[in-house]
Amino acid sequence: MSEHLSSRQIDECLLGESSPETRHHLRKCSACQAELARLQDRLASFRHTIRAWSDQQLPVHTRSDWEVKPMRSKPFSKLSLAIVAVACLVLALLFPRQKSQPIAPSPADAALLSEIDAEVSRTVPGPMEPLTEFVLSDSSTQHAAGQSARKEARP
Amino acid sequence: MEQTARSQMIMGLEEKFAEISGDFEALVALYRPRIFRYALASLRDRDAAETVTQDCFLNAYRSRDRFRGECSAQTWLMQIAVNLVRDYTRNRRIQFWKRTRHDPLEDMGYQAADQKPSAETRMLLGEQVQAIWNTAAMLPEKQRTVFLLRFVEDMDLLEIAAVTGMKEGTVKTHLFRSLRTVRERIGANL
Repeated sequence: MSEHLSSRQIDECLLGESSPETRHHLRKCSACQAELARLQDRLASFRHTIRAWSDQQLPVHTRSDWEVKPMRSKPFSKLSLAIVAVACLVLALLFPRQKSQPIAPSPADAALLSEIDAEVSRTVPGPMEPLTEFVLSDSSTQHAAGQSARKEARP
Repeated sequence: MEQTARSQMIMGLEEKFAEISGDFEALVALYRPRIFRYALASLRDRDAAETVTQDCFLNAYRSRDRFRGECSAQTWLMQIAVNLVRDYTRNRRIQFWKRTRHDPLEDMGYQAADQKPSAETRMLLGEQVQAIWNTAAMLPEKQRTVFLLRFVEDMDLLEIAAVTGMKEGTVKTHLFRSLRTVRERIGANL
């Protein structure tokens, strides 16, 4: 072993991990004893200072304040709200809503539509159209007969 | 005699806690100062330390059913506190380092291990304690944690290993590194 303990050996003493040789040296060497005592004193002062500061800062404990504490919600911060707003704005600019414009139908569609219109506007289905003439002539005959009968019945 | 009575009281409380009794409030009263102290020394902010302390007991209360009594209640609570402090500093790293710029110890008188130091000794001691404090703030997270647990909370290596979840050898390595850094940074003062 060298004349005095190394820093590592002193640190081992501070942590209570010193070897028998180190402890043997310490018993004989007043310089190393003083060095170790000085370090221990500084660290003890550090501990006392922190503890005193903590005691000073410790808030008064009210019963069950830990128990009634509500669950901490995570509200949106101003920053996150701003980011969302900017993102919406950018999306709105990138993908503007297209105005509905009239779409010109293709010729085939137009023909089909006109055919459907014609079909829908018929009063009777196409195959029955020839029968309408009979119905019309029959109703006109009945109408004329009705009129003559009313004339005869008048005084 | 008084010490024995206190130890018995602590053991009684821990037994009660292990049995999930309703005496959680007594456990809070017993360990709250210690949890707060560790949080304050780590975060250096009273409000943050108070929040961590409250969260610590809140988490402990909610998960008390899962406490198996494999370690002491103190170790279990310190485990929760260490995790909360770590999460807090990681989530709020910017704010944390902003806060560390202002030194709260500046407003605090230094407490000497020697009860009646002279004015000169007191001033020198203040500088040295300040130097340790400043160096501790600059240590990497794990080194700072074990340094504070060892030199503020006075925990032994096995306790620190249990609280941090590290192996004893890893704890020792971090402690040696932190001590070496403290020596290097404040060599002239220490």
